[in-house]
Amino acid sequence: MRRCRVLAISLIAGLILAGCGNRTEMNELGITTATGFDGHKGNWTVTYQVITPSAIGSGGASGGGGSQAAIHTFSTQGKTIREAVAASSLENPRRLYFAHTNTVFIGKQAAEDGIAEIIDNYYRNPDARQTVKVFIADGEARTYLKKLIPPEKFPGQALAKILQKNKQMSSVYPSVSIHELALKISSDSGAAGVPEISIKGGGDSEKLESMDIFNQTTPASKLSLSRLSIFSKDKKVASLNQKESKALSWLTNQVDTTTLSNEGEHADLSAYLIRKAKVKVTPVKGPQRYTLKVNAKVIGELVETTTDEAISTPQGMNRLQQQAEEVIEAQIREGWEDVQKLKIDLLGIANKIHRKYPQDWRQLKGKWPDEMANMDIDINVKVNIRRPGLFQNSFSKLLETEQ
Amino acid sequence: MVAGRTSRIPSRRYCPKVSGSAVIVLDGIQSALAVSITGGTRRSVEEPSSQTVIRGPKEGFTEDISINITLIRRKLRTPDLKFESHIIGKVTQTTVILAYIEGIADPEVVQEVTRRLQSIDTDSILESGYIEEFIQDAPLTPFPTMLNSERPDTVAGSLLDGQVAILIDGTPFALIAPVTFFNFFQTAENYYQRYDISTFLRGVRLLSFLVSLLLPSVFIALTTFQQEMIPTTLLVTLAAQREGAPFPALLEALLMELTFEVIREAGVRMPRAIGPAISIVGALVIGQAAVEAGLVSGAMVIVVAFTAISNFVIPYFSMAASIRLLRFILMLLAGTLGLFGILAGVIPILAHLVSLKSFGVDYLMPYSPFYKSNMKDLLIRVPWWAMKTRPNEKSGPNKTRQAPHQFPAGSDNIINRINKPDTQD
Repeated sequence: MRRCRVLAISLIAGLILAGCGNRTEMNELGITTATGFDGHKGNWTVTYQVITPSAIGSGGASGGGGSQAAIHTFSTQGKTIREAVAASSLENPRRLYFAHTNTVFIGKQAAEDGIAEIIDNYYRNPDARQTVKVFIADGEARTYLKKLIPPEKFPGQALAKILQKNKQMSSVYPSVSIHELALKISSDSGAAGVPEISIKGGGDSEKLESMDIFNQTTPASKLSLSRLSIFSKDKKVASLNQKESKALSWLTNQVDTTTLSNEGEHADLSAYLIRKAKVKVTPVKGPQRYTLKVNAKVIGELVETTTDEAISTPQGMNRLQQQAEEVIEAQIREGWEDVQKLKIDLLGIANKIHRKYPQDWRQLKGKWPDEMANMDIDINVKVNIRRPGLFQNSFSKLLETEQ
Repeated sequence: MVAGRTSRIPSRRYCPKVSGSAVIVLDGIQSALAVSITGGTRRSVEEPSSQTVIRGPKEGFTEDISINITLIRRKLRTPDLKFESHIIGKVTQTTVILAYIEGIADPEVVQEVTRRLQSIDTDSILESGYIEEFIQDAPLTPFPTMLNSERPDTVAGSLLDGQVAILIDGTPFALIAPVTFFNFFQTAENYYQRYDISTFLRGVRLLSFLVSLLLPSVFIALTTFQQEMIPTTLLVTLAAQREGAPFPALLEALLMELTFEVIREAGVRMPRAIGPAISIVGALVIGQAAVEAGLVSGAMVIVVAFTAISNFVIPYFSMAASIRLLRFILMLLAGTLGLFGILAGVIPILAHLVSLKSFGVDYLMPYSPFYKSNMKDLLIRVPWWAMKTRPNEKSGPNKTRQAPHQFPAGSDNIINRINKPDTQD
């Protein structure tokens, strides 16, 4: 009986003392789907894209929103990032909640001035997740966070999805989270590429800030992945265009699925759907300098062609495979030349050399960017076209034989 | 009933005159003969109303104990089936019969049940619940440690498993002991339907048990404390429903659960003719109107409704009732401490279950302590030909149920029979 009493008292005391202290009802949360950082050390502007739940679905009493904007964006300023976040309570009735944030935007200026403080903030605070996808805004992050991305309701979520679809279907830009970014720029090579967002189309981009955009079939302008920002340590130093970024994807073994087109000898065109690509990049020590050995094994299928080759024969198929190999090799070489020109080790070769030749690395460490610019490359691509699709020889060839 | 056979019972407690017997007293002989000539009308054997099956016998116990004995005796035609009679209740003089199969039931359990029955000293026994509360192991536990059934086939099956049954005159419910936690998820029909569907239904029942116990509290904990565990899209949808909801989630859940308990109780008490009114009140007024008026969120109604319906899946009412009570405690804990609170409730419950015993048998028996041979009739129900032994924990000396190797050879046999003459040719 005595034991029961002690148990009951401690239970009741526990309930009363806990007192629903950190209880937060869902309607008191400001679910932030994207955050943006602008400014520099000593003066930060943080922008929040907060979901307006009442605009979604058939939310009980409140009734469906319809024309109501699904997000609400506002910015606060402060000397430090957290001061700016704290200042949000001056104008926002809800507790900002970052656990469901999908994307983080870093303004162009902030990226060029250094992002170390942002990353520190992400690692130090449990409510900020390091898994958020990073984007560099071509301009101020706060203007980008205001833009809607039809037909999705939450732009923050939509951008994360765009990045994912890009990785799954064309592998042009890498998908980088805060954690991956931090790992890369703190490694020996100290470099990373982060996708950059810009406004596509010349129209009035302010229209994207109103729900009216959902009533248009073709918005005059759109947010789109446009370039790859190159970070050396925590500062943005350059950007690569789409073509260069694609080449980099090959070299960093980030190609999952992509479509490749090539032009044959007789101006015939073929498109290949790459299903699987495995690119192995190894630095090999030579007498004077290092050589980068690139071994690519690519599996794909033919999805479109106007070629005269007899696809049904092994010889014809071999020639197509050779053409594809040449295209990939050219792309890789081009990417490598860009990297060498920039003298930024985007491939993480430094890490590999450090692991493989730890003794030599000590000497190399100081002059690594120059050493890399001198490296040779040895590319070996093997393409295997598994299927010609449901059709044998190309339709244009069929027409010729009919004549 | 013959007085000579019940000589164990002190004559001052058993009086043939009030039990409706004719007494034949012979001159010159010291003892007398009591002949049962009890008359009066009794309810006939009908389909049990609380434990129905789709496939299986449709007869249920009645209020008349002699009919009930016959119903069991018809299923178990063995001289080893014993009925021991006790008269309990100074005023009611109720006949209570302890049934078991000698050689299959554990003699120690039989002895213990007899001892407990004999030590009851009260004026009245009107229903099996009186006996259950007098003789159960842990008087304060919310969990039932005896099973009640109004099905003769369930009782017969339990006797064959080595359990003992207590039949009480005046009620169609028989008590079965000792039981384990998992007995409350086995129904008679489990053994009549095919083993595959029976196994699936066991899983459904255990899942419903967990849902019924935990769903409201998990919902409260996730929506008010651990929102990061809800997928973003779901969180936004739930948050949209909560926009403008006047009560905190805990209060909302408690109100809805209490409302449902009221409806449920009203449904039981209501005269049958106006019963359908309950469903209209429940479905329309409480469910739809409350959501439309913005008093409660739609998701909460779904959670409460699903919890309630899960509760009905548990075959035995006594187990379902204990979960109903524990659910409220867990909801309060979840409302104050979130998922930690739920754990702070579930761990003591589990510890309590492990410590619980029913007539010397551990309540969570085949799992704790672990008995591999008993696994064949718990989460899965193996086919009958594979059930070679009785459950270990309950049965006595004779543990073998049937001969081994009874796998149905089926068409193989026929093919062999047809082929054999050919090969001899």
